[in-house]
Amino acid sequence: MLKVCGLTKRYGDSTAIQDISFCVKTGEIVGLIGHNGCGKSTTMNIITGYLAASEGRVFVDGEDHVEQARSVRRKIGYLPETPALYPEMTVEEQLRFACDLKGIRDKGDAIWRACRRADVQKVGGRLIRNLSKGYRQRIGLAQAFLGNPPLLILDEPSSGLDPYQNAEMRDILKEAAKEQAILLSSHVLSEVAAICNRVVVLSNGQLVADDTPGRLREHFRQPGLFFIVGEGRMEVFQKVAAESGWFSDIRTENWDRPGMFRAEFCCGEKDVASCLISILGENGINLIQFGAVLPDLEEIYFQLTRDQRYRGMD
Amino acid sequence: MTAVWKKELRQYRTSIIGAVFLASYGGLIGYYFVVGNLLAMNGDITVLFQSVYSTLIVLIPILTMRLFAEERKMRTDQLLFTSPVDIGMIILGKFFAALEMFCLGSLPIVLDVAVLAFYGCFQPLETAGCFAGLFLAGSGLLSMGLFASSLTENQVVAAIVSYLMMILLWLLDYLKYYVQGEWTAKLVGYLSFQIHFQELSSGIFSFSAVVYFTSLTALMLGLTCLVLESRRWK
Repeated sequence: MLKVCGLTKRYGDSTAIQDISFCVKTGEIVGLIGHNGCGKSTTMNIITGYLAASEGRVFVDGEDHVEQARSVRRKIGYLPETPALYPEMTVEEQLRFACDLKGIRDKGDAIWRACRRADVQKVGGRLIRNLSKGYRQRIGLAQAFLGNPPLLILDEPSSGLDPYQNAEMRDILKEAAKEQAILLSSHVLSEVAAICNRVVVLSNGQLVADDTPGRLREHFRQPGLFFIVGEGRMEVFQKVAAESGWFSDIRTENWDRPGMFRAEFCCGEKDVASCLISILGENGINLIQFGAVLPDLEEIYFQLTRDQRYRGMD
Repeated sequence: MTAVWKKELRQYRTSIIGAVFLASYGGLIGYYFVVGNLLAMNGDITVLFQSVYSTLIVLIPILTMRLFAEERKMRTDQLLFTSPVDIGMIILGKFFAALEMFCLGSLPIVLDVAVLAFYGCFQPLETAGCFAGLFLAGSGLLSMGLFASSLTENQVVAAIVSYLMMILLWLLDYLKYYVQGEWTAKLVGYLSFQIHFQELSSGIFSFSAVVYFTSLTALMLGLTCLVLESRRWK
């Protein structure tokens, strides 16, 4: 649905983004992450046509966003970092105006659907200036939903939302992704990991990673670092594991159920499972769970943005 | 274009700016009519138009200062410029909304003309010329204000830039006496507001004045388009 090819934007002598390329397919939620000023909003602004690229091209549904600008813009629903709302308008007036701009004919139906999806039906008659930041964000989202465009560009959609609204927003976006392609930016990496099928990481205006969260975690995992969840006495495990000589850097903690614990350790042996079974079985500890410790997205993000360039695993 | 036009009219209707413009413009028209025509027992409608013309320079920036400046400040320009509407159409939508407000504000003059006509002082062609001139001059000044508004995100700065541009064009008439060369003096004289204002407000429907104000309007709207388009590339 969206294909970004070699996008570069220069402001005088400084380069905001350089040679950015990625794709977003229908049914996908792609998270664009990076530190402040790394070029996320610039990339989104170029895709939506608000800014012009110095180099590179953007295709939406196969159409060039410069040559077929009007057609492309009809296919994009955009929620900017600050929702583009007129404070002196009521929610309904705002959405009617957006419908007029987009050339949507059945305005009543489009507004009803968008409000239902963004859950803002109750505030239709209220002035935007009197609404909370969370509601404004959702009205901005409803505005992006108008006309059911096949591509949604959402610049920090969860900004200003409380935890409940955040959870609702995730559900809304997951539902939308069934029939739309979504590109979103966020600083909340746990949220990106929870809802995005793919992550595009920008650092200093350059693309440093583009892959699924799972594959990124697998790629960046520390070799030889494992965990177990066991049932039995934690102190016994600590003792026998240390004495066995197979394990090092052993860290243990009580698990969320009584009588169970979680332990992380390093093991240089090839057959880790055999080593574990031999010491657990002999000491009356049941093995509930065992696996490699994978880094969370935040750790990967820190590694990537320390000037380490990651290339896709394909 | 109609979407932007309707939105702007609605904003004029609900905002203090629209009310201030209509009240002050209407009040000044009434004042000029009472003092210049009724109390002076003068049936010449051009007296009223001449006074109204000089008022426009003060009032029109009030009408235009927020048109693009406010959109940029509130970041609502992102909605406009990412929509499937050409920048030219957005500019025209805003321009026609301001023009409609200006025409609405000028309606009391029709009443004044009717009062003079009641007392037998009515020159149809002269009055029509004055109205056409007012419309043309208003269009030129509005487009200038719109251009100034596209340059900044601060409404006050936009109004000040409008005033400066209008005053500069107004004062060009005095400058022609100090420039060297007959053709240069003529050119400076032609570019002056004042001479064209005077022609139109005297009921003289001058072709050069029509060309002047029409060209000025087109030039300013074109420059506005250029400013907004160039911002995408900066």
